[in-house]
This record gives sequence, C-alpha cells and structure tokens, in this order.
Amino acid sequence: MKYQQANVIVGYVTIHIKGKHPEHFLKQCATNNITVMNVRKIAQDICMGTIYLHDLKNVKRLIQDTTYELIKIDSPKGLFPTAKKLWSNKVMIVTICLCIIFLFGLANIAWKMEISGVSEETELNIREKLEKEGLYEGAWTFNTLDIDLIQQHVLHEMPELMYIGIRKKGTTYHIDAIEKQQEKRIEDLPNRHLVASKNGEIESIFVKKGVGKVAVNDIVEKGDLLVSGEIEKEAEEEEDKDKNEDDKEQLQKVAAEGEVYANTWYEMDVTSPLTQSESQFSGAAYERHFIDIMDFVLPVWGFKQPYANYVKEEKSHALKIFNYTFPIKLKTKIYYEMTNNIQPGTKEEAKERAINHIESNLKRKAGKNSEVLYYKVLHERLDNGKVKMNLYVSVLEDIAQPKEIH
Amino acid sequence: MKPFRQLMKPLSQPSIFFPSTHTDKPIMTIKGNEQIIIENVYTLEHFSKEKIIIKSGNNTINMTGKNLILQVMLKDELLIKGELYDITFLS
Repeated sequence: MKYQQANVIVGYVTIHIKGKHPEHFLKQCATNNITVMNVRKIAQDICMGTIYLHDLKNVKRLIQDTTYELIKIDSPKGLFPTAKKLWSNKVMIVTICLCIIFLFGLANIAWKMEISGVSEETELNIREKLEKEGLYEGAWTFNTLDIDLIQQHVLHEMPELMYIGIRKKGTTYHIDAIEKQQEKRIEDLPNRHLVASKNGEIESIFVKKGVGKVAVNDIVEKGDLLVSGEIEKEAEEEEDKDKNEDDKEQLQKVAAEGEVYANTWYEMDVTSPLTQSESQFSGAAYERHFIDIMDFVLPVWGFKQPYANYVKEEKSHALKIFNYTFPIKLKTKIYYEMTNNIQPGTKEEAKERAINHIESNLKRKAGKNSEVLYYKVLHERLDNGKVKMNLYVSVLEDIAQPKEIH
Repeated sequence: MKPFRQLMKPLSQPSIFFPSTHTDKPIMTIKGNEQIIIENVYTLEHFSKEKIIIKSGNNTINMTGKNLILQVMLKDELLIKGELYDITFLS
C-alpha cells in the first residue's frame, strides 16, 4: 500500500463534499490520481476528506462538471502552509531576526577576563598589553581577535613571562600565565672538571672556580684537562687532618667554572651557485571568502585564482552563541603575490656568499662569543654553474666542556 | 551508462516484486478486525460509518462495522479503518 505520509511536509487541506453519494465523487478524485485521506461520512449527503494542498485546484476543476458541491474548505495545514503564513507576518520575522542578531552580538563580546598564576603587578601588565591587542572587558571579539597572535605578542613584549595561555569559555576569557623563575643556582651544579671539547691552541683562560691546568699558547687535544675541579683544602682544615692521609683525600671537589678560548681549525667543503634566486612579496593581495557548512565549502566572494606564485593565508571564524558553536564557519583565504627573481652573479659574489654562510654557520655552532680569525681557500673550481671550494678556517672559540668527577 | 541502464530497467519495474499487478482479482490484506487493505480493482458502491460496499471484478464485498473510515483512497488501492464486524462476498 502506497500510503504516503508526506502530507505534513507538503501541506494538506480538509474538504467537505455535499451531494447524493458524495463518496462516489471522492472515488472519482482517486481515479484521477488525487490521493484522498481520512474520508468520513458526517451526514447522509455530506462527506469530508483530506487532500494534498496542490490537488485542491484539480478537485475544484472536477467538481464543476458534477452535481456535487464543495461546501467547506478548512484552512490548510502542514509545514509549507505554516511557513507561508509565518512569512506573511513580517513583523514577527523582523523581531526574530533582530533577537538573533542581538543574541549573537551579546555572545561575541568579552564580558569577563580572569587572569591566574601571576602576581598582581604582572596581572596589571598583562591586562595593559591585552588591551593594546584589543582584548578587554567589553571588547567585540568576533572576527577581530586572533588568540594565538595575541599570545605571541604578549609573550614577546613581556620577557618575564614563561608561558601565557588564553582560553575562551562562553563570553569569559581565562588567561593562565606562568612567570619565569630565578635561574638555578650554581651551587646546584655537580662537581666537575672542564676538559677540551676539541683540539686547539690556547689563546686565553678565565677561571671562575677550580684550578687552571693549561697555559696560553699550549696545544691541547680533545679530552685534555683544562680546569680541574679538585682544589686543595684550606690550611686550617688541613691542620686538623691526619698528616698520613693520602693526597687524594686532601683535595676538595668543586664544580669547575670558566672559559678557555682556543684557536681551533676546520677544513670545510662548500658549494655556492652563481645565480641567485630571490622570492619577494609584490605587495598585491587578493581575498576570497567562503562559507563552510559542515565541511561543505561554498564560495561567496572572489572566484578566481589570482596569481601564479603566491603564499596563501587562511582565516576561519566559527559562529558561536555562548558555548554553542554552529557548524557554520566564515572562511577567508588571502593570496599574497610572490615574485621570483633569478639574478645572475659573478664567481667572486658566489665565493663571498659561501664564505659568509660558513662564517655564520660556524658562529652558530661554536657559540655567540666565537670569532672567525682567518680563512684560506685551499682549492676552488667552477662546476655546473656552481663554485666549489675547500676552505681552511681558523676560529677563536670557548672549548671548555664540563666532565663530571666520579 | 546507457546499456547498463537498459539492462537494469526491467529490474526497477514493480511487477517483478509485486506480481499482484498482473491479476485482475482483488487482493485483500486484513489486519485483525481494525484494518483492511484492498488492492487492484475496486468500485466504491456505498460508504457510511456502519457499512461499506465495494465492487471488485465480479465480486461485491460487504463490510459492516462501527466508526468505519476510508483512511486512504488511491486509484487502485483502498485502506479501510474501524471496528469490523463482518465481511461478506457476493458474486
């Protein structure tokens, strides 16, 4: 039986038919492919039945050729007729829309900010910094605040902070921050020697604690003792001790500290291309806007792929009312145009770039106090548009490396 | 795609699943004493709360009961609801 239950959605209407054997007319309707439902006899010559709203025209047309009368048509019911009725009531629709907009507005304002984990002074500072970034009590937060970016900016501007985390819960922003603690005291360090981390010629020694075991211009090899963590005990203490004690027992162990700068040598191979490729932003940008409904992305504005070379940035804002997040997001994709410049260069320029690169690389490896004393090009050749060099580099660097005393 | 659709077309015909469409005899499905479904051919001769007379092929079907209504009327199908007392076949 093809009993259809779609009448609630499509819309239906109840009609009253008057005449001799009104059920015959309803059967005629059914023969003409009009679905008739809930047929009841309410009088000897009156029948009522329900039909789909869209069939009403056909019923009226059919009844014209008969002796039956359509005496009453009830008001239409169902989803579409109700929506149609509601649509005619414009004031109510405007009121509902205004209510939603008002609620949306209220839900996208930062009503409260709670900062925890820091002292009052730091809390005030954080509040100031956040206000500069646009996050304060009463601020409009939809589409304007990027929490990750704010966190980065505040951390950058307040070096005394180790961590800051901003969480949005409803209309309240919870800010958890941790201040940096004092650096670990040197006393906590274990007893240790300082040994050479690589071969070199000593240039200068600065011992804070311990006994220096090398002198300037000494040649040391990797693993050689530079500053000893075993020092002799003070005279008063020594007197109390038994004179027959071993030498080892008269030594006090400390954590040796100091800097030992030595001239070290490196032999390196480096390759540098003659041409140089540079990517630059041209300054042009193109925005595309989308609506994301449950992962179905619908383009709204900006339909072309503007540039051949570009860097893409994506921003996404979910619609939220208090704690409820709608499955609708407003997405923006910004395309920044990039230009690639390939500049031909000379052999000298390529060499200079390679040497600069080596210098910065060595400085990064050997520490910020290190210095490239001189370099010598042992061998160089031009191969496939690239300059290949074999370099000998002399570096002044701190070679002291702690080694625990067991 | 077209040959495939042509191949599949007979399968989508309701006659494969419902052989009743090939016969001119009425098919009646009775659920307890509260519902009757009549499929295939019928003519509604009389309808009231207490009595329904239907002509289907060479048969006349008399149904008596209480608060009878025609729940759904389609071209070839009829669903009757109510408290049924009696069904009689007259040829």
